Amino acid sequence: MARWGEPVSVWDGAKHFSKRLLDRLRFKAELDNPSPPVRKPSDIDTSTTMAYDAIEMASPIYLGDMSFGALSGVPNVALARAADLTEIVTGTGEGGLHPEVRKCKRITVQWASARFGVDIDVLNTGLGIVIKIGQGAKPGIGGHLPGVKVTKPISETRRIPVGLDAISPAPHHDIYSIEDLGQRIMALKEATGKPVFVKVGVTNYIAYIASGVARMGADGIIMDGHGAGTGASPLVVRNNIGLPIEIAVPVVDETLRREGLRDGFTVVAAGRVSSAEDSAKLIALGADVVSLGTAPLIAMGCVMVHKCHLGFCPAVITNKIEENPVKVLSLETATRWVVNMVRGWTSELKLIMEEVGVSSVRELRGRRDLLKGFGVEAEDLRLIGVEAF
Amino acid sequence: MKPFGWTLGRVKHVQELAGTVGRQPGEPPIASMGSTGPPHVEDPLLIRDRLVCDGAQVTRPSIDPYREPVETHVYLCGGKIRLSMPVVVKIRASHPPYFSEAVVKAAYYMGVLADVSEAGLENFEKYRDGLLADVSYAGVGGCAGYVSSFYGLRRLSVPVFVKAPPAESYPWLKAAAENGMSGVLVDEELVGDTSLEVGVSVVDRELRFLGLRNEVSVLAGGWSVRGSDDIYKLVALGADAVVLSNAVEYAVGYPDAKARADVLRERMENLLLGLQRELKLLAGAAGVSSVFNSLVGNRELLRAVELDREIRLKLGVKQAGVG
Repeated sequence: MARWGEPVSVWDGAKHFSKRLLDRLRFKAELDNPSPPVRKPSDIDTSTTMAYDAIEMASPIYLGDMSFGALSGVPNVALARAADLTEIVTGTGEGGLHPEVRKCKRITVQWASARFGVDIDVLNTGLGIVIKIGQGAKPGIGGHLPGVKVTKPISETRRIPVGLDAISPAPHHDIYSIEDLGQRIMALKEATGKPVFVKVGVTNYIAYIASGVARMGADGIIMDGHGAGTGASPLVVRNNIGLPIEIAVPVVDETLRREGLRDGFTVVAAGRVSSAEDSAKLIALGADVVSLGTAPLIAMGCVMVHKCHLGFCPAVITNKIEENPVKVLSLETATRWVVNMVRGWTSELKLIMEEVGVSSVRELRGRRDLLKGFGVEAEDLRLIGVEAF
Repeated sequence: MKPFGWTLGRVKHVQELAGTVGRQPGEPPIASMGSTGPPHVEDPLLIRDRLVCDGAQVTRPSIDPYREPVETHVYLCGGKIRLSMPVVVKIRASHPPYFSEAVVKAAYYMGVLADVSEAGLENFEKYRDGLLADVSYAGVGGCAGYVSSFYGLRRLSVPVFVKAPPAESYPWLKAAAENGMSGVLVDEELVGDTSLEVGVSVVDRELRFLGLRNEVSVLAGGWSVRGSDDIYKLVALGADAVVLSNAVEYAVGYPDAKARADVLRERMENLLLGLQRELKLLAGAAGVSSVFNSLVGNRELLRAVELDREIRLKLGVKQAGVG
């Protein structure tokens, strides 16, 4: 996909027997036509909007928040440029803005617990602001940039000492409740006039959290599920905290609808979204947009050695930033690969939407009746509102 | 051949904590990218692999264990025994003296209990305050043993724990407590008719039902306790402290005839320190500032991901996604 920018498959059959719940949900259309030809997609509208129609997007894809520091600079710029070229949105993470990223239009800036690199100019850059409360790989734990990766350029952007671990506070010390969050959202909106999103990890009370976030005037919630990627996190936290996104999306959608808060409010689903079929399923379960983090990294050549925290990435994506690096990723190539991936992804999404018989993202959203569960407990299916096979 | 539930990754993790491998003893190992653990990537081998822990998000603040205090100590038997963290270390009869003495010493200095009821007390008289010994040695820090008749427990001057296998019900709890039992030790290694998780949860709930939970402590564990996440989950299911047995052997590299006693002791101390730090991370993420006050028996902090309904009801844990 990253190489040619064209669709590879319609149904991702390889995943259907995995342990993950989302993979065991399948579109009914797949049962009727298990192997449709991969052809040029016909005229299907994948455009969508975020934040009460304030942000228009060509495709329901949000490239995940990855900070300058976690990624080595070139990938940050590649993601931001690719978002500009394909008219989607990318997050930028909490480590301050790379000067080249700042020139791009379709970015959101992150307001995280350590406030690294945040000032009013940064907040005014881009399409919106993301208040980061938590992330799927470590809900309840702050960002973590290991000391080996805090080199001189990072130390200058984040204004922290070289070589020391940069560990963000776990909570925002000015956000201890939904009411506090409401005050911060209002303050940010007053200062910038831009849409404000709140990013949370999916945890036990996600329905209440989402409803509180919506009620306090945010324009959207980014929900990051269990299994989402990270640049560094204590292993025990990464593997044990948080619920899968496929359970959270329908529950949150249902709660927001019941309370009359759903219209225009954006639900971004993140965490292990690894194929166009995943994104179609999440939208059918009730999400508006899906967020991709690991996928664009793989498009840029990530080989998943799981060693981002050590700073010697073999694919030079998450290596530490040096002044005279031995190897760097080519910006043009990386950008082209991400653009291709987004285009291929969108085409696959179009093919899937054609197969299930919907013509726009808006029509697909919340269509749980299009799905069937295979080998999933009746109780779980009842909760997410999908019928059994 | 490793007991069920253990994987190579798990062994490496406890060894990294202990400093047997790696360069950062006592530090929680850092990882990156997405989760590789159960239930979605690795096979869920045990019930607790399908339980996930809570993380505090906006509705309440999480606690930053790097900068703020998270208290891990627990009290047993109405305050008669204080542990610095909810951990008990089990010494087997088969352990050679150089190993068991190092482990008992480390446990003593780190403020956790060592269960020597199988191994005997002969070599450890010095550490008697921090030991659980067999009832025949009555008069030391605490007793644990298989008790066939509860009559006469009251005459012992120290807390007495009754060892029992995990079971679906414990009809004798009331009689035992009336006769002076101060704690139950659910030991997975005495093969019971159910899993450790269910056993712990049942004991906790039955004691609560009888109104005895404040007087009677619950210890639980055995070979399948693999690290701080298991400790956290078992504590949340109702245990006051969790017994480590195989975890200790794997972590310090037993049997390692070349390692001297002080090396083993150091590894053991690193292991306990690392487990405590990981527990603080997990507790802090859930917004828990005191393990004893807010975590013991707090099933609300757990959710079951695609767990069989019958088991879930026995545990008293809610389904994932239910608020």
